[in-house]
Amino acid sequence: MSHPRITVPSLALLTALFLLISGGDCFAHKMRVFAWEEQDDIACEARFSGGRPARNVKVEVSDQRSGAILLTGETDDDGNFRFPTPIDHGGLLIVVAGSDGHQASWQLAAAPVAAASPLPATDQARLTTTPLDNSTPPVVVSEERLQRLISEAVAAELAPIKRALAENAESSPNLQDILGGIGYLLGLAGIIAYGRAQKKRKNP
Amino acid sequence: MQKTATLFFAFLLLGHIEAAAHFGMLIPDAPRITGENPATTLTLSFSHPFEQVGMDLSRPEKFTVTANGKTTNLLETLQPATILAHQGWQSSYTFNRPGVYHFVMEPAPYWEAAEDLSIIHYTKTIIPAFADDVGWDQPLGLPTEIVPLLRPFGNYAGNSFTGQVFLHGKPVAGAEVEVEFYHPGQHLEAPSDHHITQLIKADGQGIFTFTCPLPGWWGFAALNEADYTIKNPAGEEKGVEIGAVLWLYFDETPKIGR
Repeated sequence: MSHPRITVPSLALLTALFLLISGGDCFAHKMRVFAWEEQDDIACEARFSGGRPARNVKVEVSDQRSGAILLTGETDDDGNFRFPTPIDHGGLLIVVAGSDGHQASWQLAAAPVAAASPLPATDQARLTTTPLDNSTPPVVVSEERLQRLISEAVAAELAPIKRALAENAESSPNLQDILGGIGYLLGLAGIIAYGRAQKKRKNP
Repeated sequence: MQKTATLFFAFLLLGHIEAAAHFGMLIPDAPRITGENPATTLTLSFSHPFEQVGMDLSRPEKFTVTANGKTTNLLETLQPATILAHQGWQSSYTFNRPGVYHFVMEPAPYWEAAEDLSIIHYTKTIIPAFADDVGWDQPLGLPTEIVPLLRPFGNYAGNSFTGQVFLHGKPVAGAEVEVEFYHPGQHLEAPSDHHITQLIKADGQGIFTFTCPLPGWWGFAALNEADYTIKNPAGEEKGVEIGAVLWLYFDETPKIGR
């Protein structure tokens, strides 16, 4: 997807020349982008595989619900880009595109909305910030707090399962233990029988 | 006489079930983390992976994750779980930044009377989050570890794994590495016991290469005798087998055409 297709021979020649000059890393390296919410901003970082920053590449932010392009810009020298979180967006699609055909995207789920508007299927939770109670006005939740909320909720949900698992840990002997036990008994009996047989053979 | 022989054979057969190699296991539900699902469950156990026969793993001494130059203690997140009908542990981890995450379990010494030694398997699993690929080749400075020379993710079944065995920071010439395949819930027939636990010896630099022919998790265990002894449950000073275990996931080869 991100690699240009080379069909024209002269282009191939140019490419070869370019590869020679650039050391080839442009083509070998995939670009990636990651974005997260930080206070009232969305922070993005664009990198090439191997970790080099994708500097001065185009960034396009669009609303997933309306499809409208909300803003465009360029990453800085460290491959970072930052913008204020758009109010009441329907999920963000962040696309970074280099001049050499590299492209990568990241999706962020819809902003916390008070109205119970059904979310499109594409808005799968990345960083879900929907308040637990829909009747309350929208709240801004910091990432740390969000994580704590999620882990508390998950812990509460999992508690009975964990308890059941913990109880199971004190498990009774399983089939293998039983078979093993029988095996040992049979084996011991076998040794005794063998010993007796040998004795019998020696002194009939 | 014939009866005796049959009984004896039965004993051998049943006694044999426990004879295969055990591996420290640290298996995440997802071999890589993507935006669709930024969390995974990690399952810790001490098992015979190929035969899927469990053993008890008491509460590990350490459980950590190292990524982006930072090591975090996860010991408190462990919850008891039943793994292959035995005591194991589980933890859930949520990823919030790109990175290459090295999960490490250091179990409490396991006294193996049959081998007259204690076993400590330093168990490591490396998974990437959000397409990051930096730092997979870094040693963590464990008492013993396998450092990958093949990037340990994004590989197909049939790719060859190359790794280097370290003991106290130095490569181990001629290290023996046991290899087992683990495919949760699927029981495969091996033609012989040798196929269950495969074996490779490292070269003079502690480097070995092994081709993994099936999609799923592959465990590599480099086993060495420690230069110290510890007390067994009876209070006797006994030798210690310290193992460097590394788990890697190999994906199914994509089908051509379709």
